[in-house]
Amino acid sequence: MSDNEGYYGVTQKRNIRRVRLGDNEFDTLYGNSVYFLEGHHDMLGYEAVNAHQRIHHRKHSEPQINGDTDSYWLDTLYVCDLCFKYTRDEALLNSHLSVCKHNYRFPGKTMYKDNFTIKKVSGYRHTILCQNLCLFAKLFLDSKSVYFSIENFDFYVVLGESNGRRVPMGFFSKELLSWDENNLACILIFPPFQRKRLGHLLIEFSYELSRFEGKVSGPEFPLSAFGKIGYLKYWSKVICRELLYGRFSDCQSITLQKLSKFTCIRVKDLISTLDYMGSWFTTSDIENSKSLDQYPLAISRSVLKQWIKGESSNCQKLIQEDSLVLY
Amino acid sequence: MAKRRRLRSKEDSVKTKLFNLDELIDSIPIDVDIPIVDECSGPKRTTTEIHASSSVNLLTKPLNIVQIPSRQRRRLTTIKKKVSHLDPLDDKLFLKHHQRAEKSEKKMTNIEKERVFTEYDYYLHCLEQLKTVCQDYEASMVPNQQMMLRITEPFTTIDDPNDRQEVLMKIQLLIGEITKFTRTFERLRKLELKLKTLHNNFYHQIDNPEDSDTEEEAHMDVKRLRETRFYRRLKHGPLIKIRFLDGTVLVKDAISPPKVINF
Repeated sequence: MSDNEGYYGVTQKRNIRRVRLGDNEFDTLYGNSVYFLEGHHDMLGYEAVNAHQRIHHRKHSEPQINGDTDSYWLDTLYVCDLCFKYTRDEALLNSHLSVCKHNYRFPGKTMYKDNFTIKKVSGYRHTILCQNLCLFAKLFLDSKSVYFSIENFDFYVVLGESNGRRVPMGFFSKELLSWDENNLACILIFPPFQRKRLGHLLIEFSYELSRFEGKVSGPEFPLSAFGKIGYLKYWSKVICRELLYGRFSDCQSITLQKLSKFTCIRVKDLISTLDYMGSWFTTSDIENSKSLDQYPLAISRSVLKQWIKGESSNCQKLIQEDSLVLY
Repeated sequence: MAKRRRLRSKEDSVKTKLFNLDELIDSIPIDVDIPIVDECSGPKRTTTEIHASSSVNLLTKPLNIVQIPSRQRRRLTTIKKKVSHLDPLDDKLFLKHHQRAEKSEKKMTNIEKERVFTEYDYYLHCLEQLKTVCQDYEASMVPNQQMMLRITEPFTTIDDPNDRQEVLMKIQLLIGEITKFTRTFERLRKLELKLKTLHNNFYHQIDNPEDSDTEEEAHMDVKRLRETRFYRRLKHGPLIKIRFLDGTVLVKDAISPPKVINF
């Protein structure tokens, strides 16, 4: 395996086979060459830089992928599930776990407190933690270009109960100097904690933040495959909720500008979502079209209702407004 | 030498012209009332399908998640002869490598920044020229077509240079887009300087209401948290709320920018 010479951090194949995060061990999805120094694939970057560090080697047989023999730079990476510090040595991680300074309290400013807690962690204040988080995230994200210069990023980490401990289960990052004023740069729910609707919770939270800031916003483009699915689902739910049961349920017409201002969703995202749900129709064939001749397109409520039925969704908000503390 | 970074903003297919103004012209207007109907049987709007990327198969790839019993972890630690309370993964271990890597990343960022600065200067210059061409087309019966084509060529395609309406529309859209770019650049510069000042002053501030990260707050319930933060903010100045007759509310406190709540 070798680095994709074109792009920083990207490898052609996974270079770390598995990762141990706290009590869970699982396969990685993507490679991350930034854990290592260029040309020193036999040890982690900090090990190579700290030349006096005693190196623990573990011999392991060459693992196989899909029946083919393939060599990894590292079989298993051990990562603390609280501070995301990483090592090749299992014993070292286990020693660290009992003395990790985040055992007592995960840093950050509480922004949401319910069954799950969302904390804002400043990249400037908690540099090593956020850098380690970015490095870890790359193992599950196809595209990531910032790992270390994170002083102008905020990280919103969702914490929940797992085996009697309160641990980070996912996060999203937000660039403070975003050209397009995006409300989200990258988002990841760690694999052991997926399928708990935490991705949806974080997306909803990011929009609550935008609403608090008085901005219409959205995620950084282009979206990953996971991101596309997550966002389309979220946007669809919001549109269905507001047009069927919410603020605009009694309206006979609406402007995209009004819908955008109310939901804080960008106009182009609203258009993509209405396209995705197939809810736009040309008005020439719509009944009672005499009153609808002001614009050649219309939105169909019945299609929105069918969409909700198809998704077995109730469109309700996951975020409890009483649990938000955004200032 | 720093490697290239794969920037997501640059991953779209290469555009032959910088601004796709035809897309802007054809887009759905945002301020026109769109009817919402209950039932309809007409044809759906022709759309491009939303495609997932080629990594869609990764969505269903099993990751072989295994839970390691915590008892196993404890057993391993007792094997060590000497129990140490020092963190074997102290911050200092990572500091050197991370600082070097940060410098390397900043080199790449600076290359991108320089490009944006150059673009900003170039666009400011083009803006002046476009305004001159626009005035020429509005005022003159025989505008300078060659000059117009030379100036607009890097940005957009003029289908019919003799079509005054198309030329004027595209020049005005271009002026709008370039002005947006320059304003965004200026906004970000100001914000960057503000953040630098905040970071420099951070450790000198006794009470930073914007980023409180205290132990005492970690154990508070939501109601108490809200009260504490609200009263802390009031120390820096009053909260002003102006209710207008149409229901719009304008809110301003000493810390955040003003907000309009109009629903």
